[in-house]
Amino acid sequence: MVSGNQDADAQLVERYLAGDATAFDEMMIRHQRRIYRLCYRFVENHEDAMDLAQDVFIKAFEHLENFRRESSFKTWLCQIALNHCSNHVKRHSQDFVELNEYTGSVRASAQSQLEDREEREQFRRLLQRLPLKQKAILELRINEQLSYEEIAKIFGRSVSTIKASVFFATEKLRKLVKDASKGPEKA
Amino acid sequence: MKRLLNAFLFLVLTGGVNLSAQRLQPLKIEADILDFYVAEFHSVVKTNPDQFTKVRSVIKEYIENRFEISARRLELLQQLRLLVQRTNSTDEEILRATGEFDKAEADLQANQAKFLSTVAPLLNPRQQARVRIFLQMADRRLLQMINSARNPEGQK
Amino acid sequence: MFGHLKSEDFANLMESSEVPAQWRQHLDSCHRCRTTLESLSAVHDEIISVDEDIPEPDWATFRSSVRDQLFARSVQREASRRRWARWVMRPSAVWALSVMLAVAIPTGAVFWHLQKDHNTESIGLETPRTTSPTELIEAGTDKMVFDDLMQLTESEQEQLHHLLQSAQKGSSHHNEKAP
Repeated sequence: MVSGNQDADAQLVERYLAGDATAFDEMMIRHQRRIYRLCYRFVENHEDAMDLAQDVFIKAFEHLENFRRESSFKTWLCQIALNHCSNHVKRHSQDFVELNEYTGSVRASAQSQLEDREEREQFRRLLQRLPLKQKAILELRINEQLSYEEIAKIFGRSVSTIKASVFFATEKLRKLVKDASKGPEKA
Repeated sequence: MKRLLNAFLFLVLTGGVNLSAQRLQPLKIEADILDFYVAEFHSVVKTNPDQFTKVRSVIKEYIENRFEISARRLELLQQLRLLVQRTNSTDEEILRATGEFDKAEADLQANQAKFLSTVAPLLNPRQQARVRIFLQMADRRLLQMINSARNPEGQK
Repeated sequence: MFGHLKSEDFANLMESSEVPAQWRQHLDSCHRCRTTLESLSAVHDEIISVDEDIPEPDWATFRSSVRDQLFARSVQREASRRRWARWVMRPSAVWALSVMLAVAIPTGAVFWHLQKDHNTESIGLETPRTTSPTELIEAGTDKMVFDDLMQLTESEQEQLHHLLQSAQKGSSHHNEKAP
């Protein structure tokens, strides 16, 4: 399945470089959600995530002829996204006062759904406190379900190192949740 | 050929004393600077293609004015320096030069204010906030590149 | 510590519904590892559920926007390339530049040193060229940037031109390496 997906991506890259305009939409459709969600994990607001994701695709398409095919297209795209988002966060950490604006849609919901949403909101805020790399690894592994091998290639690390990162990130999050449940001053 | 070179040397030598005081020749890289600010604007403020087309001319005018005002300001600064160093400068001369320099400073501020008020109707509030950030970031980045251009070895 | 599950083991176990026999035996007997795994699995499930609330854009508009920006950038790059090529290719510009560089740089340097010696009184109005980059950046206002621009030599302008061109191409060269 994985190699089948990689073949499809490789064919689309070739078609795009050969001037096939339809390849653009197909490539975007295959990866837009993953890249957008990855960017969202860094900035936690819809508008900035959209902007960053667009930037990622622009960079990728502008430099597609430099893509060396040493990794899969998906891996390469994720690398671009991670670099771009990291640079964005570092550049804008002094300029932007609030990074954690929540712009999710507001829907009428039952009380239990609202409480669930508030809990998830708090959890998301704790997730934001993880280091960038740990956040990115968790997102890629747990939500985007990239293989450990793919993630290892993105970060230039061994599979065991990535697995250890998943453990340490989850462990850190567990401690943050535990401290948060003790009281607001601990969170 | 030798006569031509001598003539050229003469021109350079006689003009050389005032090189630092005069407005330097128009920069060859003015177009590059403009492109840089346009690209930074688009990158930071995130304009759509329609906004991009309209804003580009406003940015061009803003940058061209900055060049002109900066050139004028540098000349006036040099004049002030010379007037202060000369022992026979009159108070009137110094006051006039000071006033002109202050006007150049005010023109710089006015140019920025005009730029901000002209782009405002073309952008949404979030983009307008980003324009302020763009002004800071673009200048900072350009300053870093200027330092790199001056000290290429030191930047490695 | 000996005999307890390693971080890699926990990472594998968090994601799998089936526990291999060798670890099952250890987990049955080790309260510490069992508790750790249970709490980590709970957090792991929470991470998955958090994604449900991420608002998604109109994907068609998203793709359109990328397409439009790609087009606008290619137009801008082409215009910039033509402008630079026009200036560089002018024969008079090439001749003038080479002669001026050969003569003016050493001459200018001599006179700059001579003038520096004459300026014994420093009144602190001129931005010193020996100011460190950090100080410049920290003190930086817009007037300083363009002041510095106006005082660049031809070779420094050339250098800056290359830096600006690289900046236009973006940081994509860094994207092929691991973050």
